[in-house]
Amino acid sequence: MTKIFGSSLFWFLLIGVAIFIVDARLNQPTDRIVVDDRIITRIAGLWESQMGRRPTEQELRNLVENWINEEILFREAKRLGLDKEDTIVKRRLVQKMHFLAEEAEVEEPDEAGLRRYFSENAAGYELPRRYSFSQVFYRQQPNDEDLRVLDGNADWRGLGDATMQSRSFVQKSEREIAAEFGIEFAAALGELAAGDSWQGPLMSEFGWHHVLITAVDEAAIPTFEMVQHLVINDYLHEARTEAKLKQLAELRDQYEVIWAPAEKSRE
Amino acid sequence: MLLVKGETMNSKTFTLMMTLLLVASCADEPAEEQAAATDAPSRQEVGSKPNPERNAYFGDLHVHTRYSFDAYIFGTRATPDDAYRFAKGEALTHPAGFTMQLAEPLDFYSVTDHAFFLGVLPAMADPSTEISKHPDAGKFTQFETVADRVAAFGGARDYIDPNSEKFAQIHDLTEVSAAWAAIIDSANRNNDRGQFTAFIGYEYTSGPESQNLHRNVIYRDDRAPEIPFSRLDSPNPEDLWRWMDKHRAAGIESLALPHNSNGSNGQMFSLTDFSGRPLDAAYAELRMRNEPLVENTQIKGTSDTHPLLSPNDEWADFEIFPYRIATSLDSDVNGSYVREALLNGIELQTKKGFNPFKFGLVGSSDTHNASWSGNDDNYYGKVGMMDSDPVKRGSVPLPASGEDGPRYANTYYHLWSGSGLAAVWAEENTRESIYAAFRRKETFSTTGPRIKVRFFGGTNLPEIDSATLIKDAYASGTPMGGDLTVSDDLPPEFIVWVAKDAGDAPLERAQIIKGWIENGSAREMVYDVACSNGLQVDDETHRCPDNGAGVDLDNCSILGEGAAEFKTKWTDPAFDPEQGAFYYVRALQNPTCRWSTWDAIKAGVAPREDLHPTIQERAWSSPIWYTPPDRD
Repeated sequence: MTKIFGSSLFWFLLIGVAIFIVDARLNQPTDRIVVDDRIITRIAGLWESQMGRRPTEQELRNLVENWINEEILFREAKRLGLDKEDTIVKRRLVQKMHFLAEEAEVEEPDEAGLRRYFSENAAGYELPRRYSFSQVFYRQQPNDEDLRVLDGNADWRGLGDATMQSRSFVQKSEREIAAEFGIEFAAALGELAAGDSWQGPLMSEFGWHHVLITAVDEAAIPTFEMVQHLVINDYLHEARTEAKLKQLAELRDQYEVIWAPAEKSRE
Repeated sequence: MLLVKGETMNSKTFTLMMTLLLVASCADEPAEEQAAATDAPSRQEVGSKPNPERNAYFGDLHVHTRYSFDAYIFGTRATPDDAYRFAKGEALTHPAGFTMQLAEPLDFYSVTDHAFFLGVLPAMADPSTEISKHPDAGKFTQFETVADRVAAFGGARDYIDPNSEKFAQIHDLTEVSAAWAAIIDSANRNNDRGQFTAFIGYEYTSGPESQNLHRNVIYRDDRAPEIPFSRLDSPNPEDLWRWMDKHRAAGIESLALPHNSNGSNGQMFSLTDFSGRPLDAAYAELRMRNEPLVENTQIKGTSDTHPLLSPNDEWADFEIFPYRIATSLDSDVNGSYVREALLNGIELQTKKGFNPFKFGLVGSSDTHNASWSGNDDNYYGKVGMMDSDPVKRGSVPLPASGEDGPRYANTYYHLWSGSGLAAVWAEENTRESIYAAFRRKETFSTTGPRIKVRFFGGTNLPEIDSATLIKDAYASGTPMGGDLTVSDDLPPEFIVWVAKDAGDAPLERAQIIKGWIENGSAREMVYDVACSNGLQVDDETHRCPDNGAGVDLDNCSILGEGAAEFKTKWTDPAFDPEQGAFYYVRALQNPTCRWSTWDAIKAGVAPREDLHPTIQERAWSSPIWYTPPDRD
């Protein structure tokens, strides 16, 4: 007997087995999440019973993505110590994990960082095409004479009918003009060019208008200084969102997601 | 209901445009490429320079975010920053997962979270705080179902009593002041002079026996007291006003905006004070110094008047929500409605020489989703997960409905409204200018559409086709919110000018609602003053004929015609210089689908039978008062 325990081969084998076991545990395959037909059907069914219709493809994709994130966070939370497979517990754990991600601290940027952000996102700050114009309003449809008397007339503000809208506008976009006068007026104005003469009549929700378009500013990107105060807000907002997504993504890297829906026709 | 084709611009570009405008207006460059002659139109910089004739600005002064204990319970996680971004036109995600976005940004917004337990619930859910270790923290932050949320909301009541131990455990002032600091910071960062105004604010939530005495406190400037005064300090609004007086004396200007008088069981406009004593001049001064305005319409119903109080007002039955706050206990009608309060006010003026109810009017929403949703064709409720879809809101039947007809969710959310907006006439979009409009009561209220209402009173008003109408009306008369001065006992004239929302339904009629004191009793009368489609007001009945407008209930398209504008001058046929009176404008749109009908149409079911399928959206101006000369 002592011969076995005294044998270095025995100990060698024992240690070898121990190493093999430890190694096997350390190198477990990554967790797999299988998104199969059963799950997709259940998710879509829940939606349908609530909303009275099937989800669209985009909606279903979003719903399934949310489910995958939930599943991942749940498994992470389980690893942190709770072992009950129970929907209520799962949801609470997921919420706690979400909360940790939400409250991620974000650093205040310096000017260089802001400028970088601005140049990367310059297109988002682009100003649309803008119109500067004056308008004279008529309740009844005006005629050619009404138009003729406007040109070169210093008292143009006294002509036509009084209007709740302003008589002159500076650098307004088509959307803002639509909010004041209606969609058709804004679209019609957009077809006209700037010039020295009054044009029209154009119809709005309120009546007819002669317009003098003093300037059309093409779409343009402003300078950083003009919009610095907006850039700071946008930067921080994006940084917070990214921090949260990054946390989720880092966790997700440890998982292998397999899509295995059955073949079926989708509406 | 603005349907904008083509390009939609986000708030950034809108703001940038205005910024560019400011820069352009400041730059000392020679005028643009005008015609050489000096008689061509000059570049009036509308929106970048103050307009002495004042512009209309629309906003919401009643918005809740995650910092409100109840919004948090309902699932709202939006921050004040998210709320202000939404108001400027950015997209925001509802707790239920769908996207919300305004077609047209708002001009001003105030995040007004409940002072009561401000910020405490998010802190409870944060594992790094002390308060999250409280044994009950889970009850307030972890919800599986709507029923869980209802239980949590009800359970919050156990913590209200400041003398209880439960209260002491939960109420952590460090969390409150941290949250309040974040709210103040957000308002200041999002305020954009000339383009968008963000007001610091909060909601004072007193409601003894579920009788609603809530008011929002709105600050004019960039500073506010360290901790907001809440019901935990005192449930008596008079103590709130005294606290506001104290801070005003130290340079912090604010006003309080009461709302939901409909749910106050007669307490909001009671003729006795909180201790039960009859009102007196000192009370009136204290109240009017702090509460120049009342919010008369919002999601939890419209408080203009009630059919029982105004039996001769055919439009009085409008979005009535008859319950006390957060219950389905009935709320008494007397003392709960704005028009009756205005009448009681002038009656007190006549009999006792003071008026504690001489307020102007605004609307707002009371959203607990951080997002205004006053367009009925795109209404997504008020309370987060609780009413996030048509079934939960009671506009579409429960899936389990059987053969004996449709069954609906057992709540009162179906009685709620897609309302409302606060509006002002102000020189420019800045805190000072808009707040000054609040203070002089040059404000009006709408149920959602951006209807513009001008209202002037006086005895020497200009002709309505005058080219300088507004300028002269300001000079010779008083705008809404003011007092009439009448010369030689001549009957006052009133100018009413209303313009429809360019993206919404046409207008049906404009009215003036008059209240007056005759032989010691309050009387009221609704006068139609302008009709649509060329129809005329009947001299005897003071009514426009029906203009025949309607709604196709298969698809909510509007039928018939209406007016784009009303512009008229009206004289009171029954004016008596000895009788105190007030006058305010109400303008009605042609009928459109109520939000509950839109929900039903979109789900392919019949509209719920016990609800009006259509509504007439409306706007109200602030009143103009007439006080006979021998009384002050």
